[in-house]
Amino acid sequence: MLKLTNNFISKTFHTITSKINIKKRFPFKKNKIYVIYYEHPLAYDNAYINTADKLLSTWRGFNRFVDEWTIEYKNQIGTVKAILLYYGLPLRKKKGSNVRITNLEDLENSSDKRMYYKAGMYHILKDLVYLDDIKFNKMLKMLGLTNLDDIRGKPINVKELEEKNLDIDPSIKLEILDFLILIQKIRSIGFGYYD
Amino acid sequence: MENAKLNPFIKVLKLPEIIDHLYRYYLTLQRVLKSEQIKDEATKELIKEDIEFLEIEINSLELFYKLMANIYRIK
Repeated sequence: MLKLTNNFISKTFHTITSKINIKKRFPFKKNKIYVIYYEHPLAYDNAYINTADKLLSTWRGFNRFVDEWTIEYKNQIGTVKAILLYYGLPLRKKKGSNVRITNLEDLENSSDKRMYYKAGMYHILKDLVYLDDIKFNKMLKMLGLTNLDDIRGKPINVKELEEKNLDIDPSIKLEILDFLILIQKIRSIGFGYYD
Repeated sequence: MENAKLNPFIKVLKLPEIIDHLYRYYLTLQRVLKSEQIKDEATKELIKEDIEFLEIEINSLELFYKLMANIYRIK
């Protein structure tokens, strides 16, 4: 009798857990835009994801960088619409008609990856000259140039970046920060905001 | 923010330092472009875009400085 009861309990438990497993879905929504922080300058994890700040979507550069990325989260694989930041630099997947949009394809094929990264970061930072203070500070956080505390998210793997050799020397951040000081100096003159 | 604290006269006095900083970046990027260390077009194009931005900023800040220096009688 006891054996039968035990059998019944274990079968019921198995059915319940298998149903729960079926219902366990990929947690990222198709209609949301995320930010993937890949090897972020201030992060400990390899890559993690968070929802994009709504205020940043008003930055004119924002939508140009939104692309579809395949990610793995807790052994589940799926696609998300996101801006991928590689060490702070926004990257699209492939080269498009607009050369000014930094992308993974060009970074991979660059004869000088460090220079491509640097020129790309300068290109992004120069657009920040005309942002208002709130957006400017939010952008700096997103690009990993100030404190990262409040934008850490869920740890993931990005399939498109697996086994890619994109090594960026962390010392490059000092050069980027120097350019940022220049941008801040231009802003301090305060010709007005245009964004 | 820094913008609000600076009075217009101090802003004008800061301009030469900013122009100088911009010019250093401009020269460095020009040197990289001419050195042929970059072989792919995508990186070259990005650098050219940055040079263009620096050129525009240098020119407009120089003009602004000349105008303001005249008003404040800075020699």
